[in-house]
Amino acid sequence: MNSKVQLRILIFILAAIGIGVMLTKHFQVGYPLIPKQQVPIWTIEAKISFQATGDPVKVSLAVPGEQTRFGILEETGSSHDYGFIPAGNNPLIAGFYRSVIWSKDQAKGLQDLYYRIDVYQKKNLEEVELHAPEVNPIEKYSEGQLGVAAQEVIASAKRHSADAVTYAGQLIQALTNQNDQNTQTLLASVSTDLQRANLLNTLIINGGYESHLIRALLLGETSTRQSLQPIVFLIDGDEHHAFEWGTPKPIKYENALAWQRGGPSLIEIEGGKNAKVEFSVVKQELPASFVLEQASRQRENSITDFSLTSLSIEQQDSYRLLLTIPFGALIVVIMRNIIGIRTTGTFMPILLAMAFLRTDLGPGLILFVIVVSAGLTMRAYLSKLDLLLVPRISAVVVVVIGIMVGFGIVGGKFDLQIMQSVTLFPTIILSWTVERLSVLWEEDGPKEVGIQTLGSLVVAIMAYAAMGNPTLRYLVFVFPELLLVALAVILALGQYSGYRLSELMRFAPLVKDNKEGAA
Amino acid sequence: MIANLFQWCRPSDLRKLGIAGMNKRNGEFIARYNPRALYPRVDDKLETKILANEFGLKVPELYGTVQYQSQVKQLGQILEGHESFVIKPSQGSAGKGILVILGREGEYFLKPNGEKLTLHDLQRHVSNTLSGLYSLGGRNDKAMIEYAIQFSDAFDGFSYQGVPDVRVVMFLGYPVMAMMRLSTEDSDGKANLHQGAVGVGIDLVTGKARSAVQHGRPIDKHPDTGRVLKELVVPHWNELILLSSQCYEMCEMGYLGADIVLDKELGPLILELNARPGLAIQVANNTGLLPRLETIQNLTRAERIMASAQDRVDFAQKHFA
Repeated sequence: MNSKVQLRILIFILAAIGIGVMLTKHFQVGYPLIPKQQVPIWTIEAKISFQATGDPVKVSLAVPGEQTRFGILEETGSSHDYGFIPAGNNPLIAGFYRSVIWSKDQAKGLQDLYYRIDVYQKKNLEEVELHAPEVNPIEKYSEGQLGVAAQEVIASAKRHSADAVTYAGQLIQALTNQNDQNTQTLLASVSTDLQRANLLNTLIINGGYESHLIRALLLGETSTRQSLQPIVFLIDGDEHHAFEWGTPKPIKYENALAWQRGGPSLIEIEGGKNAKVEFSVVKQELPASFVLEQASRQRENSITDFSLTSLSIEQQDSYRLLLTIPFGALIVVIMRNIIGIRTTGTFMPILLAMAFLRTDLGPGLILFVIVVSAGLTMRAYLSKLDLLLVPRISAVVVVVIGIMVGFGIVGGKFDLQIMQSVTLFPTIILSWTVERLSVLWEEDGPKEVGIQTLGSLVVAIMAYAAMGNPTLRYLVFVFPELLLVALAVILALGQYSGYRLSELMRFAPLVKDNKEGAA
Repeated sequence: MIANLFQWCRPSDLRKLGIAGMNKRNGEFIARYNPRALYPRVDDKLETKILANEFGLKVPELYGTVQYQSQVKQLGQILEGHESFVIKPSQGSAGKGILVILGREGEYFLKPNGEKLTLHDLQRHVSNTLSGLYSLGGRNDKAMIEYAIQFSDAFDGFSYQGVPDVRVVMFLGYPVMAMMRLSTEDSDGKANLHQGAVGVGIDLVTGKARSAVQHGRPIDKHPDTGRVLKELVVPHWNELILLSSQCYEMCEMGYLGADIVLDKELGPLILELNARPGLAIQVANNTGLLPRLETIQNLTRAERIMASAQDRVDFAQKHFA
């Protein structure tokens, strides 16, 4: 009894760990539960061109950080002969102003610098903490004529507003009113969108609210020569609101990547002039698991550090197959202990299923029938010669391999698809199968060979269906902890002491007899 | 066989009858009551025989064994003075490699079908046995030379060729069910039920036939000889069942099958033991094993341990009639 309780606890723990880790990975990291889910990623290239003056050059470019809707996959800055300092992962500024720096001791003429970043759209929005650095209210608007105009606009907006959002709305409304004297004064020295947004931002800050300027890239389809759009980002406690010049209500940006958040400016340059930045965006869809893997490596997340996707593609391939074996084993357990199908050996059906996975089911079955019948015929003849068991079976294996090589040659000559799928792996499995069946023939006779071969084939086909199932393969590869769940189920089935389905048939005459006897 | 496919029963029916299924037998009886380490006592016929001799239980007398190829030459000395004998592999399966010699004619040895063999033929057979020609998975094996059983004529007409034997299933030494296995033409002279032999359920008290099956269905007459199976009575029944019960002390397996043969002069002899006796015995007896097994499980440890083999037989005959 004690061991039963122990077993149940073990089963429970295994299943709980397996499912728990899987769900954690799903909800925390965002691994999807459905395979082949595509995640859009954008490759953005910023091209900086400037005229170098011949002095030492130092270029600093603001770059995006981790954000609520977008995550970073990879970033590189490449430019011939320039020293490059990446932005790094300073947690204090992770969500805020980040910049990369290129430097060179001397340069002259037109220079091009490139910065590339891959961002992906997050499935689950993540709050990124924004620690706005200290902002100094811009002097320009605190004295003189501009200062007076600013004070009046602020005071008016304050009077007509209740909170940060309505205050910003009032400001925008006031600033779009061309007839207002103060507005005209303020806008006189403002000509670009960026400057207008800056003005708005300053007025919000001077009004005692917290906000900063964002220069955002609107991510859509592939495009070149995109420009940054200035957005004023109002922080109201835990809530964030984005404002645009001319629209008094907060705007929802679903696709805005904040390229520069706060900070001095997009680009700062020493030893050069006429700098300009151009953005081109390429959108593509990539498998979710791949994207997440890349993303978490970028962030050095510990859960996914041990993931199989960090292996090389070839290794991944063999692990993909390896990881499905336990589910083949689960099928064998169910078919043998619950259904009651007799198979040759415990794991032959799994090996057969693996061979079928290599050759595909149809060709695999044909090959199986041909090779096994040829092998067994051979065995029948050899057993007449009174050879010892091991040499006899070895001879069968040699013959089987001969047959398969023959098929290979014939297949190559006549271009038969079936025969070309024969590779080393299925060959070995089939030879071994013939060996097992030969031994069985010796020990239990041809009838048993028939029953067990059929049983093995049925189970192998079911295992093939399970092991070849793309969803299962994907799941177990991305969530290898599902092995624990399979183990738990197998252990649970190991406790099953009820009747097998086949026994309901086997003992049926007995039941009938007893009923008749009683009647 | 095909007709069987269309006949099903409900699990509740089987439970009501107390039928033990494979999973139940493997998980709750064999795994629990048969310690792995003791398996050689039943799987190796030579070891069974040596043990049986130690415990004074009747087995076909061992004339000698051949363990190494170098001893094959001494086969002649072992056979000296024995008119009839059997050569068998000690770990053979399904009756393979068993050579029966019923008499001699000059320097020839006579098989039951009259075929003449020379000593050299016998030596080759033994040599093949040693190299594993007849044993499970081709393991190296030993050859045993033993007494050839003189079959009791009580079973004349009940068996087509082959050796009729009695299988007694015991649980913790208590006989719980017995059946006689009769070979048929279908089973190729072999006594395995799944190969088509007839199973006859035997009453534990009287040794008389209760019911019979072949291929899992009830039958009345032997398919080859036509004898009415109900007429079958196993002679020396009490001696036979006591002998099988004593196997428990000898091999200490909780769930055990004993195969007993009847010799004309020596009476019941233990042919071999089986640590995984099949479930077909339930069909042959038209009764489930579970109620009987549970009756024994419900006995106290004291009751079980203090009971002698005879006590256990008495108990079984009282409760499992």
